[in-house]
Amino acid sequence: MEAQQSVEELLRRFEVPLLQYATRITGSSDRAKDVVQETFIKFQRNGAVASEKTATWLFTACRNGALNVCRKERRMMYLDEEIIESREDEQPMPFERIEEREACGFLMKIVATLPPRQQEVLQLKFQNDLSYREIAGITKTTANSVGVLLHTALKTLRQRYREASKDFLPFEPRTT
Amino acid sequence: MNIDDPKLTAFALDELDEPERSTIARKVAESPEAQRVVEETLERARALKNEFAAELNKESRSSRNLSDIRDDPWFWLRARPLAIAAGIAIFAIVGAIVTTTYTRRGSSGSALVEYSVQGEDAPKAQSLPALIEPSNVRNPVASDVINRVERVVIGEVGPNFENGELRMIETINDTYRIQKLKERLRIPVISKKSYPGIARRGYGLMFLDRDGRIMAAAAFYSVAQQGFVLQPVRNAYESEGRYFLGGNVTLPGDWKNNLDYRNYAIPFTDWKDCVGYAPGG
Repeated sequence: MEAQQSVEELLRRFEVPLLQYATRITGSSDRAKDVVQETFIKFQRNGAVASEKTATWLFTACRNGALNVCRKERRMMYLDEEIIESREDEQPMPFERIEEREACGFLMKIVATLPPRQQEVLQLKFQNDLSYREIAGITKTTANSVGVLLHTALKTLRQRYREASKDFLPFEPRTT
Repeated sequence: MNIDDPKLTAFALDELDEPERSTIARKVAESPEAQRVVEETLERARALKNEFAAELNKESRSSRNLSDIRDDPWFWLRARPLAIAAGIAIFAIVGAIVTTTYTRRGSSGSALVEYSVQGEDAPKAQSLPALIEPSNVRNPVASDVINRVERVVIGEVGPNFENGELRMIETINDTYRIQKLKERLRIPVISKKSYPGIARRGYGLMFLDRDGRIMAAAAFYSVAQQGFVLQPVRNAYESEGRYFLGGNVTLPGDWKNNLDYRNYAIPFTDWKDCVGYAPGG
């Protein structure tokens, strides 16, 4: 009974973050739902109980599941680490597509222009409050690499934020 | 110090271990430029946390079953006059009813069975009592009862099962689907169906507690022009490991005697998540 309750609590806590994480990888909310469902079923089958490492476990399993979906469907977007790396600095999401995201914050619109790998670590760090080491475990890299990715992402965000802000001119009504 | 050093970001985000943390802290203390970068990083981190949290909240809200329309200007501009007109019409119908002899339909437990002899999604002439029923009613299944559910038995109920017996398909006991089903059943308001009848083929769901007691029951079927619905069922029982919809055992819940719950159901658009398959699917 307690195990059941703890799984339900975990579901409440992690379902939406995992859905967003898997959607970012698969590019489809429907596929993301399947991935998250599988993640929780695996969690329960493994007899896992809530612990300090639960978040890492869930995000790792979710990521593996999402990458498997991409592999099965031969989607190259997130196929493997090398491809993710090679996508850096290429084809940022066009602003037309970003505009389609309803009620999205200004900063999130800029986040969406970053390479997928940087978006991934930003989401894990600032949405889910995971440490460099935990993110490294999930994304199968080193804590140093996570640090570099985050540093680069934040620096780019800062620059693009400044550039984008220039487009907004203050409204100064004429008084004469 | 080099302000384009990832270690400076790691320092700002409290990701460094000793002695590296103390080393960077000393360098930052000596450099106003580094202090500015650390401040900016912290500010950006706070903004990102807020925006990611807002994104999460938005996602959570969009996945809710019901949206609150009370703050919608359209509701007050258009729907209120319509509601008043509908109220007047209801009063007129009620006036007509009191001049006729009217025997209230009983709310016996043969919820699914009675309709299962009709044609698939066959529209049924609505009786006057059905017409004056409200379009939305409170879900009779209590939330605390649903909390006790730990597994769900699902089975077919068709025209060859006129006694309401479920032909077992499976027992759902994985947490994800159980949680989804419970969320779906926990919807506070159930709505009147577009058609009172149900499909010839339907599924029955028995929501069981840890000891196998039936906490709630529901029928799952398709309604014309509406799609799949989940209909809470008032009566159900178990006998020698077999499950039946109907009978004389009233399940826990706030069931109103003046309502015919066969006319109400919960939209079940997320049946793929909750069950994974559907009658006739």
